[in-house]
Amino acid sequence: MSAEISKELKDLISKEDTIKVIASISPQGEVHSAVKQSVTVDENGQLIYLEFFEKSQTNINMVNSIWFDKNISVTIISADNRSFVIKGKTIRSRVFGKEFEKYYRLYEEREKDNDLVAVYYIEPLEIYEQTFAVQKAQHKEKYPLYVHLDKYAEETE
Amino acid sequence: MARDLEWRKKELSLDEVAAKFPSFPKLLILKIDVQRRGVIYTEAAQSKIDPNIHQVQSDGQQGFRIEQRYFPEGLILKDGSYLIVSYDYDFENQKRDPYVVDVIDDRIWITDEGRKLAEVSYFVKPDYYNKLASNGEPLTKYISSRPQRIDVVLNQYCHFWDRNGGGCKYCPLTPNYLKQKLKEERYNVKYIVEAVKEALKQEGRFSGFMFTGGSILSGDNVLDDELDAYIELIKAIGDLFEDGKRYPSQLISSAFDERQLERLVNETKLMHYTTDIEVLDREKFAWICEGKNHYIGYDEWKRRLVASIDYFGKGNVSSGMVLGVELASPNGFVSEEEAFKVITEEAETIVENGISLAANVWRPAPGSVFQNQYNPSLEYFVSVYNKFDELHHKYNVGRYTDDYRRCGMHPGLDLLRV
Repeated sequence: MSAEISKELKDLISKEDTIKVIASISPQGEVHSAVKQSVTVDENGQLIYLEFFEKSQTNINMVNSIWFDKNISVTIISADNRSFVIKGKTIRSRVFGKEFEKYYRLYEEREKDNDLVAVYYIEPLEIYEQTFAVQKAQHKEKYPLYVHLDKYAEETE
Repeated sequence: MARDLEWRKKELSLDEVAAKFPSFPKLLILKIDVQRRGVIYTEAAQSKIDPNIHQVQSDGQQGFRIEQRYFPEGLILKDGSYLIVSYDYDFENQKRDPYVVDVIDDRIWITDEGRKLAEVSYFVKPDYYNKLASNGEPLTKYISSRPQRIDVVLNQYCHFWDRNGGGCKYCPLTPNYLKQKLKEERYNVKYIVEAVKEALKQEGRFSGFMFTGGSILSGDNVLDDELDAYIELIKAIGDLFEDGKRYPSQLISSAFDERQLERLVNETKLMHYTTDIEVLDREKFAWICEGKNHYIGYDEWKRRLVASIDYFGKGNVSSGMVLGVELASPNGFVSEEEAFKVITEEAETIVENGISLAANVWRPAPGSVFQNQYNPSLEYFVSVYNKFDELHHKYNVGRYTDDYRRCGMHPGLDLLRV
């Protein structure tokens, strides 16, 4: 089931000072995460990830995610330290073709040396905010008894 | 050969093979099986083909497909890789059912018995298509695209066929050349270069060249004329690139001796050399590739293959093979178990030198001597590909020229993506 990326989050993802981190699983089952600023959202609400290195661990893991149906996640961190997690399913990859060439030219214009390897299309499955203050409030409300007694006493005074 | 209505009961299914090899991606097993069993298109799937957009049969170089004109050169799968399916399908003489490309809910799928197995799309043709050379001929006569590689088939006819029984028995290329009554054996390099120049204008499309063609046996020594022809071609295209620097290019040729290899490496900017040993057994090679055996022989072919490492370096030499043909009748192996043991042991004696093996799935091709034969089980192909992948990792042999981007005919090599 797809999840919809809100306009607020789309805007955040499009900002240059937003950090985007992809976490993925290797064929050996190891977790790998890497900053990937080439994550965007397309007009269909899918995440687009542009890969520039054939043998990067993320590229290997993205192939693995398609072959063995393993989900990935993208963490979005804003300049003011808000953070969001998008869990996703890699639904396809393109390594040539008109759409590939559109991205190829776009990123070549940004930096001549950029040599696009693959375009990945990721369907968002689940989205949640992980900003510390938000997570703290949500957790307190949902699990009020996971607390030390001194804190509990302070909160109930 | 009539269709065997019971064939599904006699071998492991796609699902069963996938369950037996859980670390082998099921999508790759499907790719192997599509090549093994063949593929046909429903009318709905054909209606999705737009010859103005999609890459259909090239105007020239019609080696594998001469009966079906407007079908896609290949299918793109969700992992970005593709399947080359540009060959004729023999509707009369197939023992197994083919896969069916169909349209379901406006999307294109590979199906089997109505079950959706993988969504696919068709190749979009490169920009040079529909353009003409200075002689008025279509550029697609001179080069083709697969789709990230520029392919040049220099000589359309293979002279191993000059001797009765000399042609490789699985190969339909020269029989199809003769069937079409083609006369232009070799194209003028000038027009090939024009086509390449036009293709290179498209940014982000191509990543390498593959040069090949039918064997030419003439010359002062056997294969000298073939060597001269390739040197002229590879030099002419090399002139389009930076001086002194080798360019991403692969030659698949007959097995040259050391004197010829020295000329090839010194006189061109070729990067990668391939000579296809085809069948990994001396006795089966002698029967299946009679011409290659007559002029050069299995042991000498293999020796030259290994010797070419001294000229091109480890990682820049490979060999192709037609996997499964070792089980052809009447002189092939009689059991898949025996064939697996023999060819994987022989494969190691090649890969241990730093030479990678690019194995095609043998599909008895219409027009070939073996056209009515029955190829091995899916389990056999997956077993061998799995073993070859082990060998490539064991001897740290990478693969560049026939990988998932550049060729599409070697699904086993897709395993090197991860």
